[in-house]
Amino acid sequence: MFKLTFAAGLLSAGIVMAQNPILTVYAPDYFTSEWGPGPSIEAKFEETCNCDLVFSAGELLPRLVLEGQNTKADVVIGLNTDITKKARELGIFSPHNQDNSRLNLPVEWDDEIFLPFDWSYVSFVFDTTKTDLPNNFEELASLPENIKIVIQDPRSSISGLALVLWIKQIYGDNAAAYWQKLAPKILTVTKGWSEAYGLFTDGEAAGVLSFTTSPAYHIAVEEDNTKQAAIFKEGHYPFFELAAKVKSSENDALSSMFMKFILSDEFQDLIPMTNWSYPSAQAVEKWPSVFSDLPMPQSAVYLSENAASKITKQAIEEWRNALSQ
Amino acid sequence: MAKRTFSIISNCILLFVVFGPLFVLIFHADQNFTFTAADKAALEFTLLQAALSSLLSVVLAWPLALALSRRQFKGRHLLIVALSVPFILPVIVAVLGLLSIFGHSGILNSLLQFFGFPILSVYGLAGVLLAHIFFNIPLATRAFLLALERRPTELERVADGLNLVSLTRFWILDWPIIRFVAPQIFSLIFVLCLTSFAVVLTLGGGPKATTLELAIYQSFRFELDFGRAAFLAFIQLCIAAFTCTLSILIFDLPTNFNSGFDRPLHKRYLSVWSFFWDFGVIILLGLFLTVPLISVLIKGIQNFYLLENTIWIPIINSIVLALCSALISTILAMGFMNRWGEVVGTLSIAVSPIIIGAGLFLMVRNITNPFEITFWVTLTVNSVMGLPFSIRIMRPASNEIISNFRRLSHGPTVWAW
Repeated sequence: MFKLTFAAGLLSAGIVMAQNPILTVYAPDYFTSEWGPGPSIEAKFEETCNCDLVFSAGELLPRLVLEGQNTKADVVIGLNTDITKKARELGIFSPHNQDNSRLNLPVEWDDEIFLPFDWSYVSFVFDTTKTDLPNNFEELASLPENIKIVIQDPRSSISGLALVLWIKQIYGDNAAAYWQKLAPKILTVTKGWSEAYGLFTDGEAAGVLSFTTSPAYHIAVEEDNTKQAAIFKEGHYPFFELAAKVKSSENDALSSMFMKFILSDEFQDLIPMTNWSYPSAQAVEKWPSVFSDLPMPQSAVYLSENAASKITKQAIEEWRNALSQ
Repeated sequence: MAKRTFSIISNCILLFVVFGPLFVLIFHADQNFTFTAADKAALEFTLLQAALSSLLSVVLAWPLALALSRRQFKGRHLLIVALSVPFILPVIVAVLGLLSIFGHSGILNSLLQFFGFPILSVYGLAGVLLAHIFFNIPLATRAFLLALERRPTELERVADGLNLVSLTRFWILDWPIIRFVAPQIFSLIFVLCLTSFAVVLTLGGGPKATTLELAIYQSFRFELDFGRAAFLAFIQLCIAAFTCTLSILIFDLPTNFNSGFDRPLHKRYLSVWSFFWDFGVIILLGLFLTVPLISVLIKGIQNFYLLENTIWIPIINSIVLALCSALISTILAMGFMNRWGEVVGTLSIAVSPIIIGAGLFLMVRNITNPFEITFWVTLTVNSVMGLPFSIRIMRPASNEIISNFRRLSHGPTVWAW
């Protein structure tokens, strides 16, 4: 099927562009915006695929659930690990068929469905002109009184959820007590990452819950070395962004080609400077120096989706109670 | 006859676009709804902040509107125009503007620190109210101002002639206007604050300040539990309906100052005391409403170079969409020109857009994929969501026309259309 359209595409490429097969990729809004990785990925893939890659931006999973078997999506990109369990249970994805051993991640990756295309560690980023960097969670909670941080709500933000799981994993039964200790440090809680980061760059707070790779943006674009990520000795929660193939896709060959493209150097090269995160399938030597020079946490505190889903409810409830007092 | 038909069509469109999606979503789910302790806490806070925000906005807007209506000064028109800006700003931009004044490292706290005072924290209920009155005082002020400007100047002339002072004057001249406008605008602001979410969380300082809207968002996006999201949205809708009905039943009565000739007042009998009061109000509230805007403007100009050429496409799209929505909204509003129309029309903003989107999808998915006709879906939803505003602006004029010309229109040669 694909070969036929492919051949037809080749024949008529010079005459009618519109006859190229269309690969529909669902992606989050940030991904397809002009400062996101979407446009350059589209251009790069279209160089070789003889197809028309069309991004469709919006909410990913709710939309897939509503559309069910009638979805137009061939590929979904921009999912994250905190929602893979729900996504897997929907049964709408098919295996990515890529070699997981090509991935260069801080954890062993053996998922057949979801393929990471980038990653980073969740971390607190500080304005170092205002404070020294804390080295662990205890130092974070005992920063001077006037040093405040902004975090995201775990009920509306994936990075906020990652923090709650991270702390729960490290403190276990003492997580609630730690949250109470940290509460006075927290200036406020925002709906999503961008609101929190806006407060941080506006100087309203000295620190913000973000990623270890966020300072790369300030260094590369603004030549500002004062924004730095705190590296905690307890280890950090890794955050993966994933792509998956939709089962009902009519363009199976084309979407397989895209999954393969994700692990290629062409794709991986684009990730650091457009998505401000680490590429998922490249050796550190190939990273831009601004990324390989960033301090790297010693270990990953990672929860499988089953382990995460078991503690999520309780971890959020402990967080809510501690911060509501 | 034709008027009635039109009203029925308008109401049907509203039903289809707003209530249809909600009920489709509820019946689509397994109807196994739970109301957790967190939901209860969220509901309590939602009601508290919405009631206080709308009360404060209305109470503060009245003196401002009165002062603006009876004083002429340079920049008056500009100030009135500037009043509509907070409402159209993206909320996070407005919040950052407010925080540049009232925030942890804002101007106010820098001054306090300079003079050796402790820092004041805006985060908490105070911050939520501050943001909500920042957004809504302008809305209420314009509504009052509109009503004040409709009041025939003859009334003031007579009041002056009778030498009416303070309380009596207020009771006879101002109270009828307040009674007519305040409940309309209170219920509108209440519903707007009811569904507020990002602002409440950011300025509320943490999960203590959570609204039901967050739980709706969480159920929809993270738990993929659309039934629960719709169930919570339904609770929100009931609260909105109850408040709108109550405020209209208790308060609203049709006002009709018989229209006068609107001869200008040559001499106004206003005391010196009221002069200082009026300009005090204008300066204080004017600063509160404009300084955060100026701070946003300065930041915007500094970063102007970041704009790319491609910005023109979304700008044109927005303008086309806004003009079409405004036109349709105004036409639809004519079908809601009575007190119950106002209640029903207001409910269109009580249902979360994500619920409307998801429900609409389920309703039309066998006919077409709504994601492929986004322009038309956005246009329809925007037009309906503009209803509460267009109804409120048009209803006083509509009332006046009806009471002045109804009997005439019953004459043999005049048709409703």
